[in-house]
Amino acid sequence: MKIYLIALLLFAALFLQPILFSAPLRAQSSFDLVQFSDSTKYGWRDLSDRLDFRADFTERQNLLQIYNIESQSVHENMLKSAIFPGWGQFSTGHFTKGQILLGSNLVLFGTSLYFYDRALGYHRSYEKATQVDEIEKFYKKAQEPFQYSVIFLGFATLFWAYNVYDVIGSTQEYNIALWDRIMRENYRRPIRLTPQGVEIEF
Amino acid sequence: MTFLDKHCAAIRATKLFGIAVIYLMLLSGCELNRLKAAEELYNEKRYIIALQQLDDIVTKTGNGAVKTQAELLRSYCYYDLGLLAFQRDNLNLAISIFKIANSPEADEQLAEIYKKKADKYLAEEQYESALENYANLLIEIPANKHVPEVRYRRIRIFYEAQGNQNAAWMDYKNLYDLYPNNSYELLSRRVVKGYADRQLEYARLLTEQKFYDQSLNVLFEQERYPVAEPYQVSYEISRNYRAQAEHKVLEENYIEADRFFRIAMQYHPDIQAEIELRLKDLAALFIQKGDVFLNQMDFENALINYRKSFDIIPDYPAALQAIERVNTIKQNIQQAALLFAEGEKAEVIRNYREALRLYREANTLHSEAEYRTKITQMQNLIEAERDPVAFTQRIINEYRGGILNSRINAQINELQKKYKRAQIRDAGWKILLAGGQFRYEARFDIFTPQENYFYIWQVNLKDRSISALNKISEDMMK
Repeated sequence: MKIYLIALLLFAALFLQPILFSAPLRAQSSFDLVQFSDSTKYGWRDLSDRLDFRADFTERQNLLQIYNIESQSVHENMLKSAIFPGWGQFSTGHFTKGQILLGSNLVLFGTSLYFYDRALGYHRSYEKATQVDEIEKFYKKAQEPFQYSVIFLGFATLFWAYNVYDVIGSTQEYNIALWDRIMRENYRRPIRLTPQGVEIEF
Repeated sequence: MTFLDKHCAAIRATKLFGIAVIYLMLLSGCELNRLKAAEELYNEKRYIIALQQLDDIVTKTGNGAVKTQAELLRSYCYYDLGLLAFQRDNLNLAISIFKIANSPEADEQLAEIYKKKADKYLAEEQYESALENYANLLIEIPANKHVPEVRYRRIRIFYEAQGNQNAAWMDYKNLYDLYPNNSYELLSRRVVKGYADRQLEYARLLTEQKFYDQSLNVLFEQERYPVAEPYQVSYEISRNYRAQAEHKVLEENYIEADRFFRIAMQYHPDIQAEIELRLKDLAALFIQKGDVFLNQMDFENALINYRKSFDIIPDYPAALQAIERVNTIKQNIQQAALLFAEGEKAEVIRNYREALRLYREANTLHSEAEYRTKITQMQNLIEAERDPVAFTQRIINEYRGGILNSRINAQINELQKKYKRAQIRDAGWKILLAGGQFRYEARFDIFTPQENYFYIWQVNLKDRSISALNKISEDMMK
């Protein structure tokens, strides 16, 4: 029950965050129409600047379509990494990181499983035991591997959680790099590849 | 705690991690969520909040794509706000906001506002303000659908209200270049027609004052635009080229003159007959120029000029005849040279009669001083061979109209003043052979009691030349 309460609070905070902390509400009390309608506020001093911006903006808008096709979803990558640690990192091209996270998770979960299996073995013996000495002996023997199992499971879960968290940054990094690459390769080139086809500028 | 209790605790901890992970997933999409939130605000028409949210994203995001998306949404917000301002007739605010929206759609609305404002000023006869708004429209939204109408209105203001015909014409040119045969362009033609006619008059004046290029600039501009009467424009261009052609004729640059005449004819075919006649005159001028060179025996230049006439009239008969004449003369010269060489050979072997015949023939074909001299010499030599003494005497007698005889007689008469007639004696003319076959000496001696005069000349029978051989003889010849 406590867990669900904590979860509810977290989600509430998440959804209220833009409303509580966003600048708009704070600024509304001092709205300045002159400043708001100042046509130079984005640094366009005259028509030429406006046209320059528009040309650049149109160019970027066209590239946006390529970006939307090639970019990766953060949620999708988080799901991938949640299902299979390191998968999201592999998708974004962070192979070393993916390998480390995958290896670590396998080792930690495996170790945890190993100790858990040992603990279960002793636990089964404990349940079958009829002698008091044996009952006590197997119970004590089951305790130690179980504790190790829990510790390793804890570490494994931490690594798993980190792996899921890390893929957010990796995906954003990937998307930023992707945009930069698209801009570098297609921006204002005489011959450009657009979603509509090949475009030649004379 | 039993073993199973601990087991359950571990499971609970795992659940907590799961929730934390889901939370992280939602948190991770924060930037995108903010963009979506702004989009929702936009859909709810809460533009100001949406704009502040979007400005924040544009400023802070490191992802160019997210920034572009935010800027796009921001433009939509401003566009909708601009529309609201426009609907409420707050035109100046709408202009500012549409400028910030900075999109083709916003430009369309901007054009509507500028036009609305300008039309209002025009109705109130506030021409400067109207022009200012029309200019804003033309400068900021040059491809707008209202541009032809705006140009037309500006043309009328410039032409009819302000009398600025040049500005009206500039606008018309722009209108025609971009929207030929548009209904407003057709209307504008009528407005600027007077200007175009005056330009033709100006071009005519420039042509008359020999500013040909300037005149052509004006005329070609008029030719390009369908305002002035095309026939009239062509006529004036033709007139200009004709004037240039006549100018070139005066400069004796006939090739250029011909070129200009032909251009003139292209622009105004009605004058074809007249121009062709003039071209014939031009061709004749080449013949005349060639004849001048021919008289100077400059056959190369003569032929060049004769042939130039073919550029004007192919196979021009007069030029063909002239070229034939040149060829005949050249042949005659060659033939004469051959005959002259033959004559020289005959002269060497002292066949003076044959030499004389050959020299005469050569001179008939091509008269030259050298040939004529040779003819004279041959005639002299023939006479000298026949009777050299008599020929020498004749040369003496005929020398400068008999000057030697008359002066000798004068000398005798002078002496008679001092002496009696009997005391003066002379030996008469004595002709003696000197050195060489055709050189003779002619002597005339006068004797008195106290003084004697011995005149002596050498006569060259070949060329009839006489040279004094002493001082008194020389004085006698002066």
